[in-house]
Amino acid sequence: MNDNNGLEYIRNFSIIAHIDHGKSTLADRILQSTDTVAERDMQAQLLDSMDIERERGITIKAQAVRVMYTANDGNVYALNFIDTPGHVDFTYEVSRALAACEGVILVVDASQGVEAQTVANAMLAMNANLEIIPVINKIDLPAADPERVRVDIEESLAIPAEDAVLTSAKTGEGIPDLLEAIVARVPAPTGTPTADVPLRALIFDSWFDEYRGVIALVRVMDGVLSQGTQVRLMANGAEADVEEVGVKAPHDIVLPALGAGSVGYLVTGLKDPALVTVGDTVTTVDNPADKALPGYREIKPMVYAGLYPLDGDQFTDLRDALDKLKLNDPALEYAPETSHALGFGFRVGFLGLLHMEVIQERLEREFDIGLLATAPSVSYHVYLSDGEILDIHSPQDFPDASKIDHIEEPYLKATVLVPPDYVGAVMELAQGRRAHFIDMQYLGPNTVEMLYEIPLGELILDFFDQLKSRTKGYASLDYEFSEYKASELQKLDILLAGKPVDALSFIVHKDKAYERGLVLTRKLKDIIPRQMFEVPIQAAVGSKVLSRTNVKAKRKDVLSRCYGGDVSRKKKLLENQKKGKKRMKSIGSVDVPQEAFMAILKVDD
Amino acid sequence: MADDNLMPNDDLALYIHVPFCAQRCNYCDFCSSTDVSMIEDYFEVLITHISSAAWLEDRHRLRPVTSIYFGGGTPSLSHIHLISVLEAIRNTFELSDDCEITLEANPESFRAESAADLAAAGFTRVSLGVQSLEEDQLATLGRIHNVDEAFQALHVANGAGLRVSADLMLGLPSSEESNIQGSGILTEHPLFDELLSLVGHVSVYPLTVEEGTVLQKMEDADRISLPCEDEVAAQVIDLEQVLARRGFTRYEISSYARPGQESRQNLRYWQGGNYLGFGVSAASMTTDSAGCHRRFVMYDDVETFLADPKGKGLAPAELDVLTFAETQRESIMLALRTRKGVSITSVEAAGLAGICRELVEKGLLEVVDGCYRCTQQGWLLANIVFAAIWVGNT
Repeated sequence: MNDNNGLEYIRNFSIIAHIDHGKSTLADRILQSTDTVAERDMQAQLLDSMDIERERGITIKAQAVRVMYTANDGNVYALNFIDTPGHVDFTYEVSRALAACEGVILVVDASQGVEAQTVANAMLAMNANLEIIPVINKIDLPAADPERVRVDIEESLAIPAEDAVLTSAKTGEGIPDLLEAIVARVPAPTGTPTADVPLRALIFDSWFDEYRGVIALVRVMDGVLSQGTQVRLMANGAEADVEEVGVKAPHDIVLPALGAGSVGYLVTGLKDPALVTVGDTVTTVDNPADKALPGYREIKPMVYAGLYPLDGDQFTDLRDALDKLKLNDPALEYAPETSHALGFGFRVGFLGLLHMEVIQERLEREFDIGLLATAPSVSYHVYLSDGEILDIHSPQDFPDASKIDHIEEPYLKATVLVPPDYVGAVMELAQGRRAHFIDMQYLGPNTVEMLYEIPLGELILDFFDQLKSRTKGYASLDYEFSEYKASELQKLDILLAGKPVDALSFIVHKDKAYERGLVLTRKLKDIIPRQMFEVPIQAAVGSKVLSRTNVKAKRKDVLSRCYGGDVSRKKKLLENQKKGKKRMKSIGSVDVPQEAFMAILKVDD
Repeated sequence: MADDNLMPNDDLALYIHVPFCAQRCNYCDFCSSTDVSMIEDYFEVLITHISSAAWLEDRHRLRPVTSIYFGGGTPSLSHIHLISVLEAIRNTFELSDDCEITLEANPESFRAESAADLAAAGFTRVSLGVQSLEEDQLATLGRIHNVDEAFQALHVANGAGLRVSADLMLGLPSSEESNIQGSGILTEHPLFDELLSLVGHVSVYPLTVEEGTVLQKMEDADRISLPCEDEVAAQVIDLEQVLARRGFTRYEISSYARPGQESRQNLRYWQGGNYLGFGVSAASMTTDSAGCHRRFVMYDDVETFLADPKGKGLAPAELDVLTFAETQRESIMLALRTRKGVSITSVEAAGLAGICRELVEKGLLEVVDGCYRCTQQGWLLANIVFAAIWVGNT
């Protein structure tokens, strides 16, 4: 074992890719071919430990694992590799992982070629000065065209690809070549793995374990992180004893110490998640470092939504659950919010819609909290006539229109990669979403890069799904925050049975208010079940009603024939109906299903 | 439970299930089989069970049986067997002098000769599956009789001296090729008055398209179109009014009768009366010494039934043992299916006074003669009422 010395036998690398290009399968294959995981323990997407990750075939959390590999030169190398998410919502996870590495494997699908997140992730790696090994994966597919993809990588990314490794994670072809390439091309880490040098270890991930407290994944940059020493977290000054260090292989292997260049885990017994923040530097109390390592770029939520427990009694459970998720998801932000319609809940900030879905699903599954989510909105800068500036995360907090001087909304710089045939379709969609065209260029004969500035508030309205469906799935999208710009925005209220429902309000551009109001009232009419009385649905800006429709009163609701006195079965039906009703929220006397709050998002059908 | 409207339960009713049909109707999701080769075996086992099933406690044998109902399936398929079963019942139970004995019959299998035999054996009542007066609708429903046969059967039943009930359906589908006579509304049909002149009782059910039925497939394939909720509600209201003018009282949510023609068995289900079910998928309800209801179904398919020829009392396929509080709620819910309703005293004893008052405010219940009962609106929205009582949903 050469964990504390011999830096030349360590390689730290990440795998980056566009979503679905085969990252997690490639990781599985590396684990198998190095005998890290016995055949009988192998399961697909081994590093994706969350149910949601496996079910959806996505990676959400970065994961680190150590693999021992005997190279062709006869030496045994410790390969520390870190699996990263491919979806744009989780770009920050990638940047966290990259800070722990000297190299990356850039996986590109042999039939799909370079896509938007391939570009975005490659940029992150280049900016971090990492060695990039291009890998053309899925070469077993009938539609695979490695030569075209090679050219694509060189043209689109300006990365030399003549020695790209060709693999099929599915069949295992090319995996030995890849392992050799990692050893040969990823630089060995630098640093001094001796105890006399002040310790500096970067926390790049952390999570809460019910029994052991906070567990951190660290990359040791200088010195030695030893069990039993007293350490300090440099950002907040918290001190603790090192209870345990080790590596994930992928099960925990306890080690006496982790030396510079190593990647591993750290257990301190600290119970407060807020103290162990990702990006912080660990040093020793006895021989502290002068300067912390550079942290990560700060991550800010992009979209906000209200999360309310269906059962009001679960408010504190929801708060505790959010506290726990926040632990290894620094991007998650939340503050209590009260809605007349929905009661007590939280305004939660997310990186994007997928992040929101994942958090919602984790809260429901892992914490068993039934949730009602309101439609996501963005953060607006509202300038009042008296000079005050408000940062508003929720439509219900909007001040009265008469007090507003002007409003600014966040714009994104969006990059769409698309085959030339679909340029028109993208333009049409972008125009309908108030996007400003910036530039367009051919990255190769089959790929056009289109740049837009688009209001985030429009992008979260089903934009990605629409983009995919209008381009037959060919378009890919990446975006980053651009700036706040003034827009003529209005708050549109929805009234049920004459009463405004705060949780259904949303912010809309003045030119779109009528159309969106009409679409939404029609949708709500279909979603809200018939009640005992007629329910008028209105969309209004201020006191001006833009559209109106009615949910008719329920006329008939009888159980089918009760046969031969078989009462028990009918009672079960009634009980099941009650369960169905639990998924609804009573607002005033109107039962409103969960979908109603998300109906705002679907504006184009 | 002490309530004038609920049964004192010193007597008993029996339900006998005959799960065979010549053809399955398109809307049917009941327990029935078209494999008539098992009929002989089935009745042999059925008779053994009635005589000596292990779960049949002695205390039940000692109570006078005041009503018996042969349901299905199509009991009229083999009237000889029904008569043998009735004989077995008489050998085991004591029947009251005025015992109501009903069989369900499909028009095509209810002939004069068998009707006379059944009446002679002691049957007092027949419930005929007329369902519709439109040939097209009968065809869509997958019924194998026509309107003419329905009237023949009605005449046969009257001729045999039986009390006659007709089963009718509302909210029936129309199809593109359908050729409805007149307005398509049952009460306006030229034969409707003639139908009423031949019956003392009518059972009416709005059609429900059940999961997995042929009808559901037809609906999914857009081959039929069903009237909307508002139309069906209007049909129910119209029928109630027309029948009231012809002397039929809606004495239960789906049953109408001339004075004295109410079905004793039907009322029994809703008024807390005990009954024992024999045969596959036959439900039983008994009350224990603490006054708690116990509902069970012994066999849920024909194979399991035939595999227990002696009725050794396997574990019931379904068992629902209620607490006293559940019994109270259930009794009130069921009694609200009847015109009499349930006494305010019972409602208060069950702690449901608040919920019932809320339902009165919503126009779903009313108070008449010291009893809560459903309004017309309440019967149309019965699910809301029942859910309020049973699971506390309002």
